[in-house]
Amino acid sequence: MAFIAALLTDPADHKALRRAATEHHIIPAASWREFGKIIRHHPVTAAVANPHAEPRKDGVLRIYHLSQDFPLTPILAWGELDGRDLYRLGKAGVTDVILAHDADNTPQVTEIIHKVLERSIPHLVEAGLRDQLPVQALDLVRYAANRIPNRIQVPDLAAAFDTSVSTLERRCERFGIPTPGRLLLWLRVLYGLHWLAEPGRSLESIADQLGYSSGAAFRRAIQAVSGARGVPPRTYRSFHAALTRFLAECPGTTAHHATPHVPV
Amino acid sequence: MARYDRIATLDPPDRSRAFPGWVVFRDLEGRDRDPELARRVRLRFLALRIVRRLIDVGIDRVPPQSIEQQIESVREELGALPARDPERIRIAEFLNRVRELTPLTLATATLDLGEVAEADQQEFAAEEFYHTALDLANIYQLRTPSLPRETSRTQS
Repeated sequence: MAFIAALLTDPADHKALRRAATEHHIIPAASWREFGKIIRHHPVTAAVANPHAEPRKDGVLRIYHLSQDFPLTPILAWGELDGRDLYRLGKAGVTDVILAHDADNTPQVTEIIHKVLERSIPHLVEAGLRDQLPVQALDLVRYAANRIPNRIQVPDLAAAFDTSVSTLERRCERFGIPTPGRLLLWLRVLYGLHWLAEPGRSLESIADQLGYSSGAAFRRAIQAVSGARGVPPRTYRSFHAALTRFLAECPGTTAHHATPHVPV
Repeated sequence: MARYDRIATLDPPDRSRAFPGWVVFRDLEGRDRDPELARRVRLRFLALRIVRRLIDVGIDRVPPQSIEQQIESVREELGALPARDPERIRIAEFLNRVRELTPLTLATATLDLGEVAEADQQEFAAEEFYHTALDLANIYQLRTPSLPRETSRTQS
């Protein structure tokens, strides 16, 4: 389940979005200002906006600014868009468009949203592990990854799989994946590093969204999985390097892990 | 909205970084305030989106009713052009051919529309139609012998 920020003024568009994104949580915004705030302060995976949401405001220019501040957060433009709007939206860096006359074509809208979410952490993690983990292990990791924005904890994860924490730990060992606590720690760090690569976010706001008490606590979490001191460079490469290390910690067997587990 | 457009001064994105089919709008560069041209370019984009969707999702995976609905919505938009407008006739013909939903028909219909765009000196639209036909040919492994003679000649 992903969080999607939505700035749509027409209730029919809201309904259409909800119909097409039933498994996701929509956070509605009433203005460009609120829309920006939601993206900045909520763990949104994607954003949908009508460039004509507010009269006398250049929505395309606002989308351009957002795409500069949050380059890894896909932005969909939705609405009555003429040729010039579409030309400008492409230049502004919008990820895709949903035209108002297609809003009732639910399968089409669902496909566009699904494609946009393919760049999200759960999809990247799943794609990296698909060939090395059994189906049950993949389900567990996918479930955990999807719920990091909801601040899932180990007992929640155990309850979701109808088991105790200790049984879940043994299961993880058998699957060849990190223990539930470390798995969630890794996933939080991956989310955090992904967001850190966006210039519009601060360390403190990311820590807050992930449920850490402060930026320092989030830094310690990064250190716990990477072993390195301090915050790595705020680039996509740092995220990618961490993702590679995480995938290496999920060999899919019960063999000894090469990376030592650091207590948090 | 201010008359000075900050977006206009931005460099156009690469094809790989723009949203699917956007490249056709590059024919509007420097003329984006021309409503007639913008309407025509938008229609080309809408026509192309059908094929791009079938490529991205897969011909067998797109619900037939949904693709039919998409084709119909483009057809409705064609009503904005005069009844005897050559572009309207060509796109309507394209939509009829696309309905068959076979890779070969899609590829040839897309190539033909690309040729028309090229003849009209809409170079970015032509390029995008050709790229799309090529993507389709690669995905569905269409080879030259299976293409109709005329189209094969055009490709070489």
